[in-house]
Amino acid sequence: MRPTRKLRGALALEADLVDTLNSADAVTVFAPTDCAFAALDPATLDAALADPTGLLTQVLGLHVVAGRRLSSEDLASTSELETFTGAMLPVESDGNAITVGGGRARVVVPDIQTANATVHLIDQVMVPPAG
Amino acid sequence: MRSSTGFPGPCISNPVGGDLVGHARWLGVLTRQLLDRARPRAGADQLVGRSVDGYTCGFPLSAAYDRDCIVAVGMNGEPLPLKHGLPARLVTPGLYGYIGSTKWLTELEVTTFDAFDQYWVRRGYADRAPIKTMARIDTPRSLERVAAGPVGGVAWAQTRGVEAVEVRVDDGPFRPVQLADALNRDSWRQWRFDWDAVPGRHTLTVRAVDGGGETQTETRADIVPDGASGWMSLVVTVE
Repeated sequence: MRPTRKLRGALALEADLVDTLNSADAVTVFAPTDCAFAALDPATLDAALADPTGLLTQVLGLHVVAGRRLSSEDLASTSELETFTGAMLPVESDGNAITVGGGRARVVVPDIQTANATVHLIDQVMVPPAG
Repeated sequence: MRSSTGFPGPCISNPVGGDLVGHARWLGVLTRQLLDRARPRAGADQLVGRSVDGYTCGFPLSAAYDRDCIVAVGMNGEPLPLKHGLPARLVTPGLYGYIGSTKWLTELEVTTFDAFDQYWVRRGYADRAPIKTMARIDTPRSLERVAAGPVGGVAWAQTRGVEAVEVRVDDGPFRPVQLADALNRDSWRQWRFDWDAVPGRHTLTVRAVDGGGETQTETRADIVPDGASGWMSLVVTVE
């Protein structure tokens, strides 16, 4: 299940976050695979696309930790991370798998290094709770 | 010999907000002086520069005459460093590096676009690639937590010059910001915005206006085939 970055890139473009993510000095990204996006409830995706600076930014923001490149080892010894929107992201590790977002998303491919980010692929899109 | 300040242009792979762009003072010979001695035949329209490893750049022959295109042997007051093209390289303001700035130059060939496709054209890039007007925010850094303070960066529009840079905070209006003196029409210009920031998360967007009064395009273009475009924006948190 090799994901492409096209869909994530397209959503970041919608939310006007491409430059923010590309030019940040060090970030950790929990990147949903394309399968994860495909599994997302269409109504939620539509709602996010209709609200690029609001809901879409909150959703994408939940997947980005600014200022640090965290390895899977770092994640294994962390219980909570502050994402760039300020929302807190719970992290759990049982020695085998790392899950984030309160057990909602599992890291399926960890530690992908890009020029400015450490990317961990996850199998679910994390959506902030309503309200 | 001719001294020229400018820079060889961003790399074609420079994305919006990227750092694949530099600024230097070059020393070299005007390419058109070499061409005067070579006497190009009528019908020639492309100048090809060939590198020691077979790499080729190619650009309109007219560019050798309508701007300070030089064969450079010195950079910033010193002999050209190996990394930057020792013993000689082309420097052509206004065109992306892959078009007009071959390093480790061994030969110049006068030919036509019909007869010859340079290295990157054969790989899907454009055969003409004037450098697009671009502005960049250098400080603060994206996603940084900062105290309220000034915002700054650079902007360029080679061969046209930068007339103005405008910054927008969140959904507010674009406002012109302070510019440093321009060295010439090819060099970049530093800009500064004394931001009276309210604490919280904000998006800063920047755009440049060139010497002809044209604002850089908001339309996002990818690196291929002829360079990235778009207004750079970034998100910061003011504490």
